[in-house]
Amino acid sequence: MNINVLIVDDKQSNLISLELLINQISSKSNVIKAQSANEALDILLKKQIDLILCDIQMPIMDGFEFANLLKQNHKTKNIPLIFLTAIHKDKQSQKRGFDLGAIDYITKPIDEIQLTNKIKIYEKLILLQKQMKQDELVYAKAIEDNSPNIIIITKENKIKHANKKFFEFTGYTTLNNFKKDHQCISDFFEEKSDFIQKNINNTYWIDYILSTPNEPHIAIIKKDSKDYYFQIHCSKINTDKHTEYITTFEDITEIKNINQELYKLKSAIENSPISIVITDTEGKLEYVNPWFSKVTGYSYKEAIGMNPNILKTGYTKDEEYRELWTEITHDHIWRGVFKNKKKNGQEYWESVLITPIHNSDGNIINYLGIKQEITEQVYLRQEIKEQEEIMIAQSRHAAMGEMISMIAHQWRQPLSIISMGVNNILADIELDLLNKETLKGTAFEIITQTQKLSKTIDDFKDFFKPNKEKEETTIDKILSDTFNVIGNSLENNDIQVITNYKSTKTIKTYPREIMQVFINILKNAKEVLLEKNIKTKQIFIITEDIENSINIKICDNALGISQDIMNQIFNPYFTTKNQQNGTGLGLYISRTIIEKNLLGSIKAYNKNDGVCFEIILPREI
Amino acid sequence: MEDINIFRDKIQHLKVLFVDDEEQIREGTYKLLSKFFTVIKTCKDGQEGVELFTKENDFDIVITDIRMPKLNGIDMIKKIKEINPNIFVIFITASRGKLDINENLYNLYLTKPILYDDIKTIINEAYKL
Repeated sequence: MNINVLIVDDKQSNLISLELLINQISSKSNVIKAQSANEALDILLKKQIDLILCDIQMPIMDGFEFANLLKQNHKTKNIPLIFLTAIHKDKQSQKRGFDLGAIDYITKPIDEIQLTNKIKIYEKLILLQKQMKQDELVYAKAIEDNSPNIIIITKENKIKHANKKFFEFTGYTTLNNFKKDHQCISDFFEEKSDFIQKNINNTYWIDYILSTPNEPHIAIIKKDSKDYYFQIHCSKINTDKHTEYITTFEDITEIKNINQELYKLKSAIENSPISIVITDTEGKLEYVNPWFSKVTGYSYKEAIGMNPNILKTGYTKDEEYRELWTEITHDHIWRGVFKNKKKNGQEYWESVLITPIHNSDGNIINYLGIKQEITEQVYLRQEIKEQEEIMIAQSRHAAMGEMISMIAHQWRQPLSIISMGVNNILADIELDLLNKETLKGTAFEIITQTQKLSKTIDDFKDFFKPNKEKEETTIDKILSDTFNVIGNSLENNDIQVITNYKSTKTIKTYPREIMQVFINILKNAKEVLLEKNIKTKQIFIITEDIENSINIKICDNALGISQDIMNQIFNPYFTTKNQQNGTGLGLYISRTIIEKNLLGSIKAYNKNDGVCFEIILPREI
Repeated sequence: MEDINIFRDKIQHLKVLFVDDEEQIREGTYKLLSKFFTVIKTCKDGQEGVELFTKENDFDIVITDIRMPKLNGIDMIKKIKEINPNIFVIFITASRGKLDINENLYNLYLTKPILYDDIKTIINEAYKL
C-alpha cells in the first residue's frame, strides 16, 4: 500500500527538491507535482490523494485560498494538508493556516530532520488510516455478502446499496435493473393487517419502524406462491449532511412455522383430558399439564420438583416399582395400573404409560408419563363381577331347587311301591293270608326299590360339588349321567328322545358344569313342548367330533321361537315363563359356564319346526 | 277294628274302580284291594275311567289319582257323577295340604303313598255304605 502525496509549489525547483526529499524519506510515497493551485485541483479531481504539501505564496491562487476551496468540497476536506512557506512565517499566518484545517505549518528553509520525522509520522498515520478504512470495507463487504439477511441502505427513501442476499431474493442482478421495475422493496410487501406495509399510519414504513423501536416489525413477501415472513430492523447511519438508513430483513418464515406447530402441540397437551407429565432422569417432575392438576389437586407450582411417588397409596408393591424403573431405564415402555391418592386424600385409579424420551445422541433425557383415570371402570368392573357372582349364586339355588324336586319326583314311585308292598304284607297278616313265597317276593321288590332310592341319592350327591379338577371323560358318559339325574321326567311327559351319538373322542373338562347346561336345556325343551301341547313331543340329541372340539346339538320340535325372542334368550333375567317357574338365569348362566369355564361356544337357532341349541366344546381346556 | 274279617265279609261285594297312571301302583293297589273286595277294575287315565263307567255304571266306589294324562281325576269324577251322583269318591293326591277342589265332588282324600292305615280308613268308610 502506498500513499499519494501531492506537492504544490509554483517554483519547479522547489517541487523537484521536495520530491527528492520525500522519496528519500518514504518508500511508500508516490509524489505528484502541481505547479499551481488550479493544477492541484485538477489532480485532486482525478486522483485519490492522501497528503498535500502546499506552498502558500503562489500567483493566481495562493495556498490559503486553495486550502479554503478544499475545505468546502466534501471529497477533499478531510485530506491532511501541510503548509510550506518561506514568507508567511508570522503567527497570524500560522493561525490562519491552522484555522483553514492544516495539520502542520512548516517554514522554509526546511529543517530536513524535522521534515523527515514529520513525514515519517504522517506516512504511518495515513497508512494506518488507509489500512483501517480498507479493512473496514473488507469487513463490511464480508458481512454483507455472507449475511443470510437482506440488507439495504437507503437515502431519501431510495435504495443506494443492497447486499448479495437482496439480489438473490429479488432475482435482479443490479440495482439499476431493480429500479427499472420497482421503486422500493416495500413494493413487495403483502397487504395484511398487523404486518408492515409501504405506508402505515400515514407514515413511510422506515420512519414507522424507527419510531417504534421496541416492537417487532414483520412484513410478508410472497415469492413463488410462498409467503416469507421477514423481521425488519432499521437504524440510522450517522453521516454529516444526508440521512441514510440501514435496513435488515431477517427471514423468520421457518421460525414462524415452527412456532405455529409448537403452539398447536402445546395447545393439545394443555387441553388434553388426560394427565401428561414429564420427569427428569431421576423421576422428578419437570412438567405437568393442567389435567394433571385437575385430577390430583396439585397445582403446577406444587408439582414441579416433586417425585410422582407422593401419589402412592401402597397398593402397588415395591417390586413392581423396581420393575418399572428397570424397564424404563433400559429404554422400554412400561404400562400398568396405579391406585393413587389426590392431594385431598381421595383415592383413584389410573392406567399409566411411561416412555423414555431421547436427545439426538440417543441418550435418555426425560420420561413421559401419560395417565388416564379409570376409577369408574375399575369400580364398574368390580360391581359387574359382584353382580355375576350374585347371579351365579341365585342360579345355583334355583338349580338346587330343581334338583330337589327332581329327587322327590324320582323317589315318589319307589316309595309308593315300597309302601304298597308293606301294606300288602300287613293286610296278609291281618287276614291271615301270609304266605312265604308272596312275602319273599314282596321283600325283594322292596329291596329293589330301596336300591333305586339309593341310586338317586348317589346321582345327585356329587352334583353340587364344584369341579375343582378337570376330568377326562366322554360326552356320551356325561349325557348318560344327565339322564340319570333327570330320570324319566321326559318319558313321563310323552317326550320321545332321539339320539345320534357320533362323538367317540375323550374330553378333558368339568363334567358337572356341562351336565348343568344339558339339564337346563332339556328342562326348557320339556317345558315348551308341554306348554305348546305338541302332539308328538320329540327331543333330538346329536353329538359329533370336529377336529379338536366336540359338537353337541339338542333340538326340539316345539315349533321354534320368534327372532325377537331368540335375540334375548341368553340375556340375564329374560324369561317367557311366569315367575314361579322361570328365573331367567338358566341360559345366561349356561352361556357363562360354556364360554368362561369351558372355553366353548353356544348358540341357538330355529331348525325343522323347532329350536336347536348347538354347543361346541374344546376337547382340552 | 276288631275283626277285619267281619269287615271284609260285609264289604267284599262292593264294586271298586281304581284309576292311576302308574302301572306298578295299579298292580300293587289291585293286589291289596283284592284282599278285601271281590270286583276291582283298574284304568290308567281319566278317559278310560269315563269310558268304563259309561259301560258299567254300577261301581260303588271310585278311587282315583288326580294328575293323569288325557283326562285328569277331577274332570273324570265330574263326568262320572253325571251318570251316578251318589258314587263314593276317594281322591289320592301327591301333594300335602288341603285339596283345592269343591268338597261336594269327593268323599275322602288320601295322600300318596298309601299306607296301611289309609287302607283301613277305606274299609271303614266302605263298611258304612
